[in-house]
Amino acid sequence: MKRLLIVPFLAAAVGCTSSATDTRPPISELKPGLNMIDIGDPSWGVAAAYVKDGHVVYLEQRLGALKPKAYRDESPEQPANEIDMRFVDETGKTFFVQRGGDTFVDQSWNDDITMSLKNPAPDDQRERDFVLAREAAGLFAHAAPPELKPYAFHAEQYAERPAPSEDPEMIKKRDSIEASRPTDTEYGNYGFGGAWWFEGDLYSKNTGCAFWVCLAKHSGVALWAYQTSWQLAVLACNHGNCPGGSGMSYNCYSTSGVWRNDVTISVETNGNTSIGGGCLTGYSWNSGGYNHLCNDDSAYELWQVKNGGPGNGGSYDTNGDGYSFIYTGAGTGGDGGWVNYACTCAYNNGCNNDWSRPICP
Amino acid sequence: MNRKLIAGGALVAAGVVVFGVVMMRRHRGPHHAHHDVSPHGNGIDQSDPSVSFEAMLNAPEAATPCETAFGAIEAEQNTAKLRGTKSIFQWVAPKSDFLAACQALSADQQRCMAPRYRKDHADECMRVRPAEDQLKKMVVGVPVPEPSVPQ
Repeated sequence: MKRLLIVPFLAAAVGCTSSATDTRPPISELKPGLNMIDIGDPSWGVAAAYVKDGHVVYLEQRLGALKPKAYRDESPEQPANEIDMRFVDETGKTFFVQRGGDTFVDQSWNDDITMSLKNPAPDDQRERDFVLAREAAGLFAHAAPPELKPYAFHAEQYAERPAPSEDPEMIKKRDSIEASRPTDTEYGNYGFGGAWWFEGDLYSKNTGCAFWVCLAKHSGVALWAYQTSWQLAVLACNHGNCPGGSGMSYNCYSTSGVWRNDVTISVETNGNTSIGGGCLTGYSWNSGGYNHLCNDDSAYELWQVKNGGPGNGGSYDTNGDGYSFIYTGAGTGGDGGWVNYACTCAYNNGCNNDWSRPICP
Repeated sequence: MNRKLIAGGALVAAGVVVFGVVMMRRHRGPHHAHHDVSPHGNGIDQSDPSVSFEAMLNAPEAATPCETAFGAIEAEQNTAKLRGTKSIFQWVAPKSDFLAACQALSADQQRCMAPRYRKDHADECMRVRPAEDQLKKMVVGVPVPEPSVPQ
């Protein structure tokens, strides 16, 4: 009898183990409300899900590198590490993602962004997702134990923002976009169905402050992708405070100005020795003629909004907006090679060697 | 009976453990903690302004916040000189003038002149910001150019 009891149980356990995959639990395995899926390893990240009215959104965060000390000193209330955070809908599509530093901690998130742009969700679902995400974030922030304080911080910051469908500013922008949408003609439907409209919102804050004199600005950009609803947000924190979060002031926004197909968003993608968009130089607070800095990252991110993607090297000034991401002056070894961006941007009136934030092209 | 109960209890406990492990494995996936140094973050920490700020924060505590503040500026200027770079301050008053102007500030403002105190009390210090002309009697920072739209 004992054997009979033990065998089916172990068989079931083995069966579960052999079919185990690294997937999010489906809604059928979750209870209504907040579900803490994985909060056991704060050095790695967290995963949670929120179920309401038969729908689910997933909250995921990953711990990245330690922030620069200057930013930690400047904002001690913020998490010490760069943290990536995203929300994923019930079909596995990412619809909000916030990146702490140079790259996503989990590189697969890049592909997920691309997938979301290729397969947008129905408008009503996506609008609901953003609302659920906000509720999830608030509950997570409240329920997170003390050791998860850095993750609770970003969740709480998210919860304080209105969902796009509840945000008067986003509604106004949506109405403006729709008012200028090209209409179909008798020659065919080219009402730009399936194409994307991008927006980039620039935020910044003073940093490097002593004696009430602040010597630099940290900036970040919130990139939004719109089709027939706000579908995806990609926020670039550029190693410091995140756009839209506490301490960051809204400055201005750029739009793509046209509808684009086959778009991608990579935000700032370079390290010191590799290029995913335009920089080979060291990173600093001060571009110093050849270093680049967070404000260059922001310039590049805003430029992506204009361009509909990160481009592939060479001259980036495709829109004639004054953003030449080519620098051929001191620091290039006289070979005239392009080494970084936003250092000769003519319209910024001296963004070379400055510490200022970029304009919105 | 007792043996049966114990065996049953053990079985249930084992089941709970196995189930828990299975669920964790299923939904956690591999955890790869990411603690690499950020190239850009590291660049910021090694930049001249960061080193200058560190020099100010590490300057010794003096008898008064105003003296601490002046000592911090001297430390920053010495560091910049040693590194062959420019100070982050465009102009600093002579010590006697600096101390006189500083001591004319309120006690709250004087406390915030000390860089370490200011770092730990950013909001509080922002609320007690002195008037611009008072600040200019002590120190002027390198200006941050604001972007302008092309004409």
